[in-house]
Amino acid sequence: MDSELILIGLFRHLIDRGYPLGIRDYRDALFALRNGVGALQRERLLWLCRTLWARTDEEATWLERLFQDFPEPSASELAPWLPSAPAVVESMAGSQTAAAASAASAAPSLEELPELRFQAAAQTGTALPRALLPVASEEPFIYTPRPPLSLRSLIVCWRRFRRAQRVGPKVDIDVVATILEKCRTGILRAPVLSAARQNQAAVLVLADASASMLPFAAFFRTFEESLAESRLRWSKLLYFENVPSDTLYETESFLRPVEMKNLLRDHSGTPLMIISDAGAARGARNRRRLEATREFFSTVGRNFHPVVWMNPMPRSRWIKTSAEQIARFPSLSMLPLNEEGMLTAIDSLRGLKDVA
Amino acid sequence: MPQLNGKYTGTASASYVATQEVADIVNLAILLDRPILVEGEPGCGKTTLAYSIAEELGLGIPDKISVKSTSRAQDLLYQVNSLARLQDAQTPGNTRAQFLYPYLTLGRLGAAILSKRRSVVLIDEVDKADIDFPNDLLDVLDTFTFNIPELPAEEDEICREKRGFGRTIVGDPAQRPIVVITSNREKRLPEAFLRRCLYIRLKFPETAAELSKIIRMNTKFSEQDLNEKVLEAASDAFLNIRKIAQGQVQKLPSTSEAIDWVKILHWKGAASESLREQPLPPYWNVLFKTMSDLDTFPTVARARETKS
Repeated sequence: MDSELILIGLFRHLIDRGYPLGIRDYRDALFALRNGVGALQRERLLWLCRTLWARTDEEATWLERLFQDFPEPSASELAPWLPSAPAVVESMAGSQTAAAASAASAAPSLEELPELRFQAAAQTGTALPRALLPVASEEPFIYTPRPPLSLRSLIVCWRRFRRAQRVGPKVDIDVVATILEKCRTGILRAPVLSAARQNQAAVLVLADASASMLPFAAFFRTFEESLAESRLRWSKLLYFENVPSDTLYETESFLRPVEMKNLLRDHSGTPLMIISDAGAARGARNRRRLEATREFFSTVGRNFHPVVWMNPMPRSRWIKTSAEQIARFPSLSMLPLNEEGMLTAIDSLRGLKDVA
Repeated sequence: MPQLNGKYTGTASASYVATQEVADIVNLAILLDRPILVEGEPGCGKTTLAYSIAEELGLGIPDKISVKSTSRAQDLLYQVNSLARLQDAQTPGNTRAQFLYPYLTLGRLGAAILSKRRSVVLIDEVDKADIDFPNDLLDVLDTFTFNIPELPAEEDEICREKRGFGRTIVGDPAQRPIVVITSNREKRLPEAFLRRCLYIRLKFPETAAELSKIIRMNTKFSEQDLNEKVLEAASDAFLNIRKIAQGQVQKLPSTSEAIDWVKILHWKGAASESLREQPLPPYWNVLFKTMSDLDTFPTVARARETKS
């Protein structure tokens, strides 16, 4: 058919904005139109687009805004896509003219914009005069948290970190051995059992909870949740301030200390992950920090292997800071804290060499 | 695409009332063959929605699949009883074990796909399962076909003859089951899955009239009818309690608690006046489910009262 595809402009705009939509979503919208959904009024058309194409509040608001900006399809454009009933087309045309009229009257002309008035400084009680402006209350602000990694991607990453070994009580049926036993002896008294496969992967995570890492406080909570769901044999998240030392803490406010020597006694040899900006947030070279970190790795840090350092600052911010120098330490690899970095980190922790 | 006899209106089932918006989304999902993802606080009627859809459209009782943390998507489609086959193979003279197909059972979703009759399949609390579970289901919910790779190719024909299905099970496009999926927290679901489903968020009724209507539908007493004045006063009191408890308690009382409370008020013969005057109406403790909430709420309610 040679008539212009309806709503294709809006759809293309949504895809450009990053909505994960596909051809099927567009075709579903056309199919629904053909079956009478969303045809009669503009609001119903908007409802159809929103139900099919938007999944979060943020997406819905953007879609509504884009929908207002787009020119309405005229009756003749809509007609091929509607269930064939002339009454439908006419009522659509009727609602369109009404909507067009109201739209024309709603937009204020330039002369009608309110004058700016000020409240004098003496009245406001502060040193500055305050402008009295009407608050645009129809403009909602939608706060969408954007953590470095979502909970789900963290869990998926941790699930990749598996070291399955057969340990513990023998509870799994070993099918091959059972069959061989039957072939060998001719009778099967009981199936042959072997120990169940268990994930032996473990990780110790040390997170920097100093002031420069404050923006990531909420992320640490997500991180903790992901460790709970990670199916690792053992994992622990502890906090330090600026440089890991002999005492680590169970909370971000540095309460409930844990001695490093106790950790070493029970968990020596586990992989270690450090999350810290290593001075990249403040952007300076700090000799004391560098020395203290070097000291940590030459004494205590030797007992953990492999070691990865996740830096929430992007790589470009590491240059000319302590982070650059710490990144050069031979015993660890420093990676940016994003999806790609996390996957590489997991590969390093699994023992794959030369990944970072 | 299937043609249904009627549309879902949300008002014609015995014990459920849906808003027009919810009914519209349900009808759209049925039209487009998409699963419906229902989200809302516990006790707001997510499961009952599926039952209501089945009732109104005359599709019998929905197939309810309660998801556990150990559920695998494959088990919903089919299961192979290898152990029974091994045991039968031990018994001399038993020839059944030479074939796999007698030991193959179809799961609830598999049976619903194969069935010639349309039905509603309810997958309850999908977020309880492992995080990979929804993704494994995605392909099946897309195409309503699945394979049974364990069934050897040689047995395909004989299985078709004896059991009615083969290695590949293709659902009848005109009789696709209506899939309703409920979840308590949709943040853990994968993106592709969320995109595939049409999303309904069930909200708690905002007015006392709506709440009264829902309670009336769900409380049918044989001895005597529910006193209308008591119902009205109880609905008002309940909404007030919810307003006071918002943000202060761990679990906000919801529709199912309201229904239980009104039943108790009816059985105990409470008067509508007693529901209006105090900060804590009679039997208020039925509404809360944790020890800490039972401690917190009276304090908060009394503080509100002394302030006003």
